Formats: sequence, structure tokens, C-alpha cells
Amino acid sequence: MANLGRDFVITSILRLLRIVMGEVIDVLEGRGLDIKRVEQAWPEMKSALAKLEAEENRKRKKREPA
Amino acid sequence: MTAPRLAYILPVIALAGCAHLSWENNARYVLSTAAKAGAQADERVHDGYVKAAKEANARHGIDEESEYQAAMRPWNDAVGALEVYRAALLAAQALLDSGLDLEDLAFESSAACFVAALQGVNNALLNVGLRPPKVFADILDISEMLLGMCDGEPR
Repeated sequence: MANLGRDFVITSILRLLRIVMGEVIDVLEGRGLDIKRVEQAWPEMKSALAKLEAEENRKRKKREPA
Repeated sequence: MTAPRLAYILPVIALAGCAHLSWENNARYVLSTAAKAGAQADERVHDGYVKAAKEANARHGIDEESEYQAAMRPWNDAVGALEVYRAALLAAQALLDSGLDLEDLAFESSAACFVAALQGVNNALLNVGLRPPKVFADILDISEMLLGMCDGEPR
């Protein structure tokens, strides 16, 4: 039973991935495979940098005389 | 749930399909696509965070630190969720690089935890009024049955 559930989940997710990520079809048809390493596809956490910068700004504001 | 556990699911999904292509290529393709979607979400959170911090800073003086932190909490949650997600992608990639035998991994639990964590990111984005990448929402649509089956606590 657990295997049936697992197979269903795998099949469903894979089917969805194929539909949503249309490029996968291109891969299956041998028309190209755009594989990037995670570090290349998502080189930096921009939101984390924004958070750091905002915290620095807040600290700077506290240090400034009123 | 630890990031490495979350990471198991991606290569396993890839392994399950496209049998005529190497499972490793498929796994790397899924990771790459998932990372691109993550980068897209990260960009949206970055822009929103800068704007929200500017507004909160203007609204709450230095003697209103708790109010400032309260205003920024949903944004900080979104940043945290994205950090966990990116760490999971990197961990999955490390698994692939190591040539680990994926047949030994506990799929069901990992699948449930992956979906729960993905929902965490999705919810965090919605909480700050941002539209999650379509890939996130579509995966959640068909995987809803797995929610609550994760035996760990996704962060």
C-alpha cells in the first residue's frame, strides 16, 4: 500500500514537473539540456543581503545623534 | 526537518522518470530548475524587503525597536524560508556529487517533508503579499495529501 502511494506521488509530481517545466519536454526530445549548478542558477541570497543591509541601517540610525 | 533530509526528494523524483536519460542528468536538471525558481522568489523578496524596511524605519523611531521588528517579522520569515530551501538544494547537489546510492533513502518521509517545507516558503511569500513562482504552487496543488505526513518539523 505504501509503495502504491509512493508510486502515485512520484508519478504525479513527475507528470506535473513535465507539464510545468516545459523545457523538460525539450530535453526528452533531445533539443537541449540547460543544467546549471545551484550556485550558478542561484548565485547569492539577495534577500538575506537586503536583510543585513536593513539591520545595518537601523544600527546606524541608532548611533546617529537625534 | 534538516536540510539534507529535505534534499533527498529532488534526486529521487528525477530518478523515477525519464528512464532513457541518465538519472543523474535528470536529477541535476530538476535541481537546476528548482534553483532558478528559488532565485526568482529571492529576487521578489529582496525588492519587497528593501521597500518594507525603508517604510518601517521611517515609521518607527529608534525608541520603537519592537514595533520595527514586528513590522519586519513576516519579511524575516520569508528570508529564513528561502535560506532553508537554498540549503536543501545545495545539499541535494552534494549528494549527487558524492555518487550516493539513492535507493537506500526513505522516500515517503522525505517527500512529505519536502512538500511541507515548500509550503512553508510558499506561505511566507504569500504572507508578505508576494506571488510565489508557479512551479511552487503547482507542485503543492497535487501534493496536498502529503501535508501533515512529515515526521519532522519543517523550518
